[in-house]
Amino acid sequence: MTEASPSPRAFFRGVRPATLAGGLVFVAGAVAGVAVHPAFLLLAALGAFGPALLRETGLLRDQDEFQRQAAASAAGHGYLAGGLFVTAVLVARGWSRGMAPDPEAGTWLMALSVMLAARFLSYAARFWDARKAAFRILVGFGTFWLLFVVLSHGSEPLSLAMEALVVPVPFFALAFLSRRFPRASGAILLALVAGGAWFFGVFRHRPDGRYPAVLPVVLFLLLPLAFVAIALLRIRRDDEA
Amino acid sequence: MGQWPELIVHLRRHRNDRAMTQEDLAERAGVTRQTIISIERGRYSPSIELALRLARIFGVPVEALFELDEPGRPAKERRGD
Repeated sequence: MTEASPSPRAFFRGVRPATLAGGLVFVAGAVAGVAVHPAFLLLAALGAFGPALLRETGLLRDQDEFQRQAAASAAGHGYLAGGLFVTAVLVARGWSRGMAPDPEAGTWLMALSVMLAARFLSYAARFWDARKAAFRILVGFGTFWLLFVVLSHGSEPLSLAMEALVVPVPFFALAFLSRRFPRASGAILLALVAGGAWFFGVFRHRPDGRYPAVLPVVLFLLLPLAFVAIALLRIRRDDEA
Repeated sequence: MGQWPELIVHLRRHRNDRAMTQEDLAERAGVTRQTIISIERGRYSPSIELALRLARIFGVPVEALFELDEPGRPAKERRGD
């Protein structure tokens, strides 16, 4: 019946074990990434984003509704702080170079673009029904690729049939599969996105800083599909048809 | 958006009447103690589902725990309990 005392013990009791473990992994990864080998930065990323990714995909359900609301609000603040920080760094770098072209500006702009696109897609997925949105996006992708294939191979029926089977048909198949088996479709789609990221060389090192070349692929192909995949994975098992 | 009446919370009174701690209530409602504290202090408005769960724990209608402020109500009553 006593009021809450804002003691350190009370604070740690409110923090989920996964969040605490993530924080420790992040610190260890960041320190090792700077002092030992840059590959350890992957560990830092795992600590920073792992718990949130597990919660987003519905694999970890360790928060009550108040904690989820607080986390959503904190994510909004993180978005603003991260975006403004990246913009400030970009401007400061340009300033210090006497406004000469910055070869790394593309990398920073890509980070900002991904943040903006992710926010828009996340809002759309939240605002509209996830299953309907996923179906429409997948059918939209399939139609786009089908038009592309028809326009490029319209006069060659065999090539048209082969190309149509390889590119647009899987999107249509996944669209219809997602209505009955949303979680399985989400997992397949997530694997396709990972394969696509590797195929298009999204994470390949570009010493010339020419990341904007892959930006359209990320913004208009991989990111929307990744969001559809996550939206499908988040559909609860008992909601499945 | 217009100005809507404030939410008044009577959770603490019902909890005290039953000699229940925030920890007990949190455990029975399946939330953290911090969530109960935030609801009692009016910092967080629970979902309909949680409000119904809390009402079921106390065996009262949900309106006994939460109500909307009425114009002209004295300030002392408006604060909730």
